[in-house]
Formats: sequence, structure tokens, C-alpha cells
Amino acid sequence: MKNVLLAAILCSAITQPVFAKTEKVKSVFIKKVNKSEVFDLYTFPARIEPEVNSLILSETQGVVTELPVVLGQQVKKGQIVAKVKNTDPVFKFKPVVLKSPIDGVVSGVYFSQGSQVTRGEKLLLVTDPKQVKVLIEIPSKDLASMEKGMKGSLSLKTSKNPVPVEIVGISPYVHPATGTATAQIRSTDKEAVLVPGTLGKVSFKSNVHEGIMLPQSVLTYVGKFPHIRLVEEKEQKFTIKKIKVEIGPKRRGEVEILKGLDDGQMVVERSSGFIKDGDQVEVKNLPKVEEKKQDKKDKKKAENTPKKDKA
Amino acid sequence: MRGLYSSPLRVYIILGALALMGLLAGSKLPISLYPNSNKPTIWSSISYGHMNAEEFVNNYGSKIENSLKAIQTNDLEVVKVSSTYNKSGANYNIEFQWGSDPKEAKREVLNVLTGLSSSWPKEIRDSLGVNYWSRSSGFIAISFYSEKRSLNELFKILEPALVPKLIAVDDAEGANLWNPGRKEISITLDPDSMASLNLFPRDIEQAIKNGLSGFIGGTIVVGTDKLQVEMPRQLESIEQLREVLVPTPKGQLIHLSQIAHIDIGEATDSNRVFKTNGSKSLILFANPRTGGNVKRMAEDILKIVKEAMPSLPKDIQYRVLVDPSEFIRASVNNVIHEVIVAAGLAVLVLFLFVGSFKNTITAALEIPLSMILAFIMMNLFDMNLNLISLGGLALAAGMNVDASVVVMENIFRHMEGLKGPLNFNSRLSLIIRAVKEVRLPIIASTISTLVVFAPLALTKDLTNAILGDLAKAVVFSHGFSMFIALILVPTIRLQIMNFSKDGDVAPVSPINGFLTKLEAWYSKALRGFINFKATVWITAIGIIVSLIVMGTLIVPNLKKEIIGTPDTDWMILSVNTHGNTLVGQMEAQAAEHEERLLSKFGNDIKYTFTQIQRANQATIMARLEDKHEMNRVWKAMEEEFQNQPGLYFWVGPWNPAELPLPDPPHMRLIVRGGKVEDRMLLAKDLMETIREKEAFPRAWTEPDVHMEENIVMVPHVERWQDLAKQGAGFLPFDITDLSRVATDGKVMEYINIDDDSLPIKVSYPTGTLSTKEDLESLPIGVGDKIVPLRAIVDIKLEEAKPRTYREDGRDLVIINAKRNKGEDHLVETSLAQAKEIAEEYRKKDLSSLGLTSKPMFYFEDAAKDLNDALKQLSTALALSLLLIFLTMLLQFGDIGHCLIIMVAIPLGIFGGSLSLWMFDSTLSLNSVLGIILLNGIAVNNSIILVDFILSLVREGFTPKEAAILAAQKRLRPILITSLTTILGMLPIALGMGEGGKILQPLGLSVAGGLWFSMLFTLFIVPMLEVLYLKRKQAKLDQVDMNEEDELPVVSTPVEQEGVQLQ
Repeated sequence: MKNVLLAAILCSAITQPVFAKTEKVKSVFIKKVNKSEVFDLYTFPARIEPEVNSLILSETQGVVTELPVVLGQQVKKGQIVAKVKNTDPVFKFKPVVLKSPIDGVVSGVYFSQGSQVTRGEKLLLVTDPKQVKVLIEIPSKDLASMEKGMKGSLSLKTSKNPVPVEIVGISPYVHPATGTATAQIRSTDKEAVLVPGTLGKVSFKSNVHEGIMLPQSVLTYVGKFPHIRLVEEKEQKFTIKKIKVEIGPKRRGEVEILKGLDDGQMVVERSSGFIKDGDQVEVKNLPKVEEKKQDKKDKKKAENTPKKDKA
Repeated sequence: MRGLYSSPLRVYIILGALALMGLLAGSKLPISLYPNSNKPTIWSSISYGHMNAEEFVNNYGSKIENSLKAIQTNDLEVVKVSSTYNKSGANYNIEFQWGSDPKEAKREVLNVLTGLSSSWPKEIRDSLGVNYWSRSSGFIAISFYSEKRSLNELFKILEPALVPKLIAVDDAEGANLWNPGRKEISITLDPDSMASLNLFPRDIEQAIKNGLSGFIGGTIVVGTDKLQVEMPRQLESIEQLREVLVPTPKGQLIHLSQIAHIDIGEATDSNRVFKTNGSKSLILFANPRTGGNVKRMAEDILKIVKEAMPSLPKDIQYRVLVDPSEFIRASVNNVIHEVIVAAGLAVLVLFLFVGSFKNTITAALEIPLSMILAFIMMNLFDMNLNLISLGGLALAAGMNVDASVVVMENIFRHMEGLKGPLNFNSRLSLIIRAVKEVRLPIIASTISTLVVFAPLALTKDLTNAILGDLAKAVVFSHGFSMFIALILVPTIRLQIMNFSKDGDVAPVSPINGFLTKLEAWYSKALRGFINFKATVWITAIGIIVSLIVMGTLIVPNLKKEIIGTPDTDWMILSVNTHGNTLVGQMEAQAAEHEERLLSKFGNDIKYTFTQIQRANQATIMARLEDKHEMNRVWKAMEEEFQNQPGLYFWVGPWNPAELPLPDPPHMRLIVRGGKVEDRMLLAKDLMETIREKEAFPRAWTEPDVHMEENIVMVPHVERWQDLAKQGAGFLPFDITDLSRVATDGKVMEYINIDDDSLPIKVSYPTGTLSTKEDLESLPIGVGDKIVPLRAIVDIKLEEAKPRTYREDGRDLVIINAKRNKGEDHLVETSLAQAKEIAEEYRKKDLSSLGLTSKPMFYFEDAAKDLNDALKQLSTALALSLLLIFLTMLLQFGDIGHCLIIMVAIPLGIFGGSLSLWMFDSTLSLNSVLGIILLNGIAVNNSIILVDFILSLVREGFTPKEAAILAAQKRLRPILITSLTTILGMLPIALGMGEGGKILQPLGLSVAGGLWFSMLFTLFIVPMLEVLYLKRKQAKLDQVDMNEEDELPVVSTPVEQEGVQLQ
């Protein structure tokens, strides 16, 4: 009896560790490294203001006798917009005709028919909605990167597509309170409708160069040094290689890789577990071109690797 | 004695009264899962005020730690003080010794901190908070629903009906109703209008506040009446909110609706979320307070709900989602069931050996009676009915009949050979004679069984907390069994003889034929065994080999645990992430994992219950269809939910019990010294290396070493004067207020609409701020200019200051690691691997980290609590062996006989460990206790044998004949006492039902060990005794032929004990 027990004990002691070892191939999602246009983006809130804004003042003191226009009405240059009857007998109560000095739209009416007005009082505002200027405030530290003629894009709430713009001029004076210099930009798209009085957002690309941008999540740190996990393919086997890289500025959740990476390399973006240098992995999102071939290989590989691992 | 037995009524009345008392005491005993023990942890938080972490630690922090660590009163002792220094405040965790009173501990901590706080600045002093820290995962959750009503309506009905009563529940902390249908008023500001009008959220807040307040305009006295002039609050509805006038810095007054979209809707974010089966419902949720009884809490709350239901509209229904009391009740009932089965089995054995129902019942009465009487003592000792104390009672059940059996057996022995009916007096004197003979052996053997528990009284902490109850239960009930056997059994026996026809005839066992054959076979086998020449050597080698096998193969391969946990039908999947700021974000992630859980384990799961109480942690609980599948599902879940960078899972069964059983990691690696940043970097890298090289499947650190980045805004203060000249009325503070509104949103006020207090949440449109760049270009109106935010503040990404963690005044980072469920046998290998990895790391990788200081790292014993407890128990075991030995020595006065008797012990230990190993059980406090107990029982068999052999030798038999005759004569009592105990332990050893797993190791080690030891004792002890006696005789023959008389003369145990005890 004891012998049987002894044998049982010995057997189980030997077999336990053997059964315990089951290895699993980890899977990764990769991102292919592509060189692309890399730039710093400067974004500013932009004010859209009318370029031509004509305020019509009363030329005399009197009573408004006629008001042939209403708010929002299209007017031609020279079109009569109001008549004011002079109440001063010296002028023989001759009505004064007020005409629009520009083609535009009546954008403000500050009186009503029959109102008494004095000389120089604001009566009407005529605005040419087609001629607008866009003003931005550039913080002094951004001034070095901005220059006249720079092209950018203006996004507006009123239109879906951004409007192409360019800088017309930058004021040389930095305002001491805001620390900004005013710059004027204009739309280069003549069709674009810019509504005066609204705000938009204008962005300019600067320091444009070719480079590699990757999501920040691909970085792993060894101490303070950033590293990236590459996936290297050799005979349809994918191996992890951890390399040190040099990184540039982080922009919008992405980071520029300055040194250490090349076009076309595969970088681990996400993994199903913790992977180390030299691990063999399964790539879950291989680029589509090779997909058909790869599918078969993948299956083979999945069957092969665990055995090899054990060997 | 004579008076006692001859007046049975007196005995019955006294015992009946005691039994009534016992039943009363038993019904009053509170029921819980574990013993009434506690290891309280008190938690305190202090904010730094204007200081930073480093300044705080230097000025106050270390002093606080030292003072807390030094707390020591008669009943309190601090075990560990750990502190975390975060960005703006510190947390202290003060762990007290086992058995400390939580209330007193809290009071003491509060005293110490209040004392210290007199020297702190007011702002720091005011921030001091002290409370219990509870690790308990016990809680109750009930969901309410109605087909007719919305959640909000339901809440309005339930809240007044339930909440006032819930608050009064004594054992609960924070019992409340959670309403997911809560509404809020959302004000979405238009960023452009805000900028154009030079407005800041502060202006909106002010305007709303003004609208919400009423004003008093003095009083007018008319005659004797005083009339108060007042302007009531303007805001009563959403429409009025839309018309709130907001003054702009440019002097305009505009309506709020011109610059914002105002709406009423469901609250977008809350600080906790409960879901069942993926959808939100109205939930009643309650945690127990520290030291509170979870079961009582759950029962009280269920009672409140049940009582409230009839008074509520009929369409409202409820469903209990999570109920710890049900679980605890089931576990405890299960053990009670086991106790009953144990008793039943013991009675069955009794019947088989004793025969006749009357006699069986006479002896069996002892089982319930001794248990009931034990309740009186348990009540006096402030114990409760829990798995441990009930386990003690179950254990005692089988042992308790032993004394009765011995008494009865001796009475029968005296009856043998008697003829014809006797008169009362001769019956009485027969019984008294019989009882007198066995009185002292019974007392002695009871004491020797109980004496093994004495060293347990010396253990402390965990061991005592857990096993104290078991030991006490056994001592009480087994102690009482002795008195019952000596008083009640003879009384009843006498009555049976008086009133029954065949009362004077000794009954015959129903399996008498079999037993006689067995006796014959046994004596034949024993004779052969003794006569076989190589027996000694085979036995010696056998025992040595067995011990070696046990020491090297069996015991080290046993899984270690503190105490088994009961099977539950609830599994917990805890999901942990980094970087979320809102509970809503976690909600989305949790939903994803819940779906994964249901898709993989849908067939095993009845329903789920999800709690999200923090932005980076969610607890998904799954109720299993069948709790017996727990271990399989547990393992499969751990395999399915593997940790990934940035996503960590914890899988385990739900254990709602309050007892803070330590669940230590398998590896504890300490990183100390150097700068904080370096320590963090090193710990992070080391942890990742351990994860990557897969030494352990799970690794984590304390504190979290995840490096976070903050967006830091520094205002250009030098511009502020000029800005003010330009008409900018805002201050740097307003900018953070703006960014807060633009990101998280801000609840500015509460407004009462239709009896509902709704929060007014002001925010910017979703997606306004999603990157740092968006923040930089946020438009700010300054006079008639609109500038990007970065013009007036500097905005940059900065690494957040790491938080520091200190234990007992040492700055450190701890890397913990654990193997998965069922992989305990791999822990040693993993630990060795981790040590190797760490060593290699020290040589190779450490230098590549680029650290500026030199933190060190080293391993600490992770399972210290468990190892300490096992060590204590081993000492207790050794001491109990010594005690047994001394008792034997007193009884037999000869070291040789003592040693022979104690041969039963290694045999028992071997059998116990072997059965633990064969049934895949664990080396736990319970199994070691089982072994201790086993020693006490196992020697009893040898004592019976040796004692009888010696008395036969004294009567003139040769040692060999004496041994064989004694063994044959004593086979029945040995079988009865051993089998009642073994079979009594069987239901526990099989570990059926919820509570079973806790006591299984105990049952296995006792039943297995006793079986094994009994089997071999029956052969080995007589054989050794023959050898020993022969040698002794031979020696004495040589020395002096004339002194033959003295040879094997050993006083009978009766006399010996008598002397000792009197």
C-alpha cells in the first residue's frame, strides 16, 4: 500500500509542473509608420467685421418724412434711403434727401418715420456684406512664425467647409494689455459667405516638414527615455523589438518621432498582454494588401509557434 | 453519588433547567459568518492648505506619522501606519492590532490628531477628517420598478417612505436610494457670444444667484403692525431662467437665453452609477459600517422594505439583487446541517456497536445536550454562531459520545455474568461501582483531549481571532459531555434497569457476529505481525520513509491559505484604468467588459450588477447559475480577462463577511531611497519587466506609478493691470473657472421646480475643448479685441508630481504580484523567477534608466501574516505534544510507554497531511488545528491499549499474550470511539455546501489522520509494547533475579490520575 502511495506521490510531483505550462501567443494591433506632413498649427479666434460700413447721419435738423427702406433691404449706391424735412424756416423747409453712399444692405435703422432728428444724428447703417475683413490677435510669442501672405483656413459656424484665407497684414504694434498684435486676413475664396459680426476660428500651418507622427499611446518609457515596440517580420513570423527613439513635440494627442523610426516599419499600438523584446506575436490588423496570403500564414503560425516555444 | 443516581427526578430537573437555559442562550446567539473579531483600520485625510506636499511632510507629516504609530493603550496597539501624500492632501491609514475595538481606535486617532492640530494653521486644521476604513465588500442592493411610473416618480414615492428608516439602521453606513432618473437643468453657453460680450462663467453664476435670492427692503410700521417690504425671488421656472438678465462689462444687460441654450434633461454625470443587466434602475444600496454585522444590516433593511411595501402603490415592485444575509444564512445553515449529520452518523455507529435503541439514545442524548449547554458558555463569552464555532460543535459531536460509551460499556461489563433480576440497591451499587471505575480515566482522557487546546490560548492576532472560537466551542461542549456522561447516563441506565423487563441484561450489538469475526481476524493478524521477525525494521523504515515523504513532498506541496472561503454564486470582475476624469467614461468602458463577460459566460450567469463609484474603477458582479461552478468560472474568467497596458482586471468571488482576512500578494518587492521621481521610474520599469517576462500574471504597485501629465496654466500677471485698463474685469481665478465650465461643466446652483431640487449645470458645448490646443485658442474678450487664451496665460504640458507613499515613516514604492486562482503551486517558481529577473535587472538594465539618485530594491516576505500564523500554530502544536507527553508521563511514569503511545501522533500527522494532499485541500489554520486536535484523540487509542496490556501483564500474562489479548478485548471500544469521531467529521471533510470549504481542511486532517493512525496503532503499538516489555524484563532478569516483582509494575492509570487530580 505504501509503495502505491509513494508512486502516486512521485508521479504527481513530476507531472504537476509539466501540465502547468501552457503558453499563449499574444496578439498585437499595429500601426504602419508613414511619413507625412508634420506642422505646428496656430489657431486663433477670428472676428469677422465689415470692411465697408457706411453710417448715414442726418445732414440737418428736422422731421423724417420718408423712409423708403427697411432693415435688411438691398440698396444701390445713390438710392434714396430717407428724406428729412428741415424745420428751420431759413432753409424754407426744403426736404433733404439722404442717399446710400454704397451698394449694400441696410444693417441698422435707428429712427422711425416722423421722428425729430438733430443734425449729425445716426440714422441708418448700410453695410456691404460682400466686403468683410477678418481680424485676429496674434500673441507676441507666435509673431515670429506668422508672416504676411501666409495661407490658412477659417472655420465658421455658418458654413460646413473651412474657408481658405491669407494674412493681409500684421500690425507692428503689440498691445501692452493683451500682448497681441492685430492682423488682418481675408478670404481667398470669393464665393465664401462671411457674416460680419460673427466669430470664427482660423488656423495656420507653420514649420511644415515631412516627419512621422504617431499616437502617444505607442510610447513606452524606460526611465525617462521613450521607446517604441517594433514588429519585425521574418519568414512570416512576427517578433517584437524594443527600440529607443527620440521624440519631438506632442500635438493633439500625437507625438512626432524625430529619430529611430523609418517609413514602412510596424509599430505596436495595442497588445493583448505585456510583451517583451523578442516575443513572437500574432498581428491582428495586417495591412490589407497582404491579407489573403497572410490569413493562411497566420493560421499556420498560430499552430506552429506554441510548439516551437516549448522546444 | 448514590443520592444523585437514586433520585433521577432531581437530575432531570436540574439538567432540564440547564438545557432550557442553553436553548434560550442559543436562540440569543447572533449569527454571522466569522467570529466576532476585528482588525480595525482608521482612515484620516488632511489637506495641505497653501503648502505643497514636501513642505507638509517636513512640517507636519512626519510628526503625524510618528504620533500615530506611537498610539498604545491597554487595549490598542498600532500595527502599521501608511500614508499617501497626494497633490493637495494626505491620507493616513492606521491599522490596529487584531481584537482592537474600532470605536476606541477611532477615538484615539482623533484624540492624537486633534492634539497635534493645535499647532497647525487653521485651514489645515479645519480640513481634518477621521473615519473607519472598511475593506468589506458586503453590501445589499435592491432594485425597485414599476410599469406605470417613471424612475423619478418612483423615487419621489419611495424616498419619504424608506430613507428616514434606512438612516436609522444601526449596522449600515450610507444606506440610500439611488435615482438614475435624476434631472438637471443644463445651460450650454455659446463660447463666441461669451467672448464677444467679454463675459465669463462667473458673471452667469452671479446673475443666476441674484435671480435665486429674494431681498428685504426694510419694514414699515403701521400702527402696531410691522410690515416687511420684500422682493421675492425671481426664478421659479425654466422660462424665468431663460430671462435672467446678465450684465456685461460693457454695460449692456442681455437675457441668458441670448448667449446660452437652456434645457431640462437627465443628469449627464453623477458620482456613482449602478446598473443591473446593463440598464440603470432605482437602487437601494447600503454598506455596513465598520464592525457592523452585515447579516443583521441586510435583514433590517429587508424588513424595512417589506414593511413599507403594503403602504405603497401596488404597481411598485422590488427585487433583491444582492443580499449578503441570504448567503451567510445559507452558509451557517449548511454547517448546522453538517452538525446534525455528524451527530446522526455518530449515533448510527453507536447503535451498530451498542445495540438496543434505549441504550443508543441514552448515549446519544449527550450530543445535543452538551451542545446546548455549551451555548450557555458561548453566551457568557460573548461568542456568536459562526462557521468556526459551529465547526467546533460539529467536531465535538463525534467525540462527545465517547465518554457515554465508556460509562455504558463498563456498566454492561459489570452486568455480564449476572443472573436474574436484581433489587434496586444492588443495581445502584453495580452502577456506582461501574462509574467509579471509569470516572478517573474519563476525566483524564477528556482533559488530555482538551489540554491540546491550551497552547492555542497563547497565540494571538489572526490565529486567535479565527481559531479561538473553534477551540472554545470544543472545550465547552466536550467539557460538558464529561459531566453528562458521569451524571445523566448512569441515572438513565438505572431507570432503564428499573422499569424495563430485560433491563438487567446487557444488550447485544446487531453486528455482533461481524465484530467477533473481526476480533478473531485481528488477533490472528496481530499475532502474525508480532511474530514476524523483520517487523521492527519494516515498521521503523516505514515510519521514517513516511515522515521523509511527508516533510519533503507532501507538506511543501500543499497550498497554503489562512482560512478557506465559502463558495459563493457571485463572481466579481473589477476593472481598473487610468486617465478617466468622469464616471461617465468608466460607465462606457464597464459596459464593454460586461458585454464581453456575458458573451463568454452568458450560460453560467443569471444576472449582473455593476457599480461604478470612481472614474477609474468599476465593479461588475455576476450571479452564477450554479455556485458549484464557481471555481471553474473563476479560473476561466481570469484567463479571459488578462491585464493589458492601461487596463487591469481583478477577478474573485464575493465574500460579504466583515472579518478582514488578509489576502496577501505572492510577491512583495520594495523600492526605497533615492528621489521620489527615480523611485517611481524604477518601480514602474521593474514592474513592467516582471509583467513582460511573465513571472507573475498579475503585478501592481502601491502607490500607482502611472505618470500623469497635467496641463499647467500660468497667467501673465504682469499684463493684468493693463488688461484691467482695457476693461477686462476678470482675474486669473476666472480663467480656471472658465476652463472648468468648458471641460467638466459646473453645477452652479440648485433650483426648486415642481418640488424637485434640480442642479443647474453650466457647460460649454460638447467637444469645445478636447485637446490642449483647443484650450490655447479659446476666445477671450478683452475690450473690443478677442484674443486666444494663450495670449494671457502660458499653457504647457507638465508631468504631474508623483505622490509619495510611506509606511511607518519610510518612503517607499511596493511592487506586488500574484498568481492566478489555482496556480498556488507555481508561486515558489514564480518568486524564484522574479528574484532572478530582479537580479539580472540590477546588473543590466538599471544603468540604462538614467536615474540621478540610487533607489534600492529588495524582496520582503509577502505572506508574512500567514507564515506568522502558521508559525504560531506550529509552536502551539509542539507545546501540545509536550503537554500530551507530560500527561502520559504522569499517568504511566515511564518514558518508554509514553513514547510508544505517542507513536500514534506521527502516524496521525502523516495520515492527516496525506488526506489533505489527496483531496487537494490546503495547509491552513484550520488544518493545523485539526492536526493539533488529532493528536489529542489519536493518543487515546494507544492509551486504552497500553493501559490494558500493562494491567494484563500485572495479572501474570506474558507480554506477547497480554498484548494480543488486550488488543482483541479493546478493539471494540477503540473502533467505537474512533469511528464516531471519524464519521462525525465525514460531512465536514466532504465539504458540502457553502460553508463547507471553510471547515473542510479541518475535517480532512482529523478524519484522515485518525483513520490512518487508528489502523496502524492497532498493530504497531502492541508490537512495540511487546518488544519494550520483553527487553525491560530481560534487563531486569539480568540485573537481579530477586527483584522480579518490580518489573513491569506500573500503577493503573486510575490510581495515578487519582493521585494527581486529588
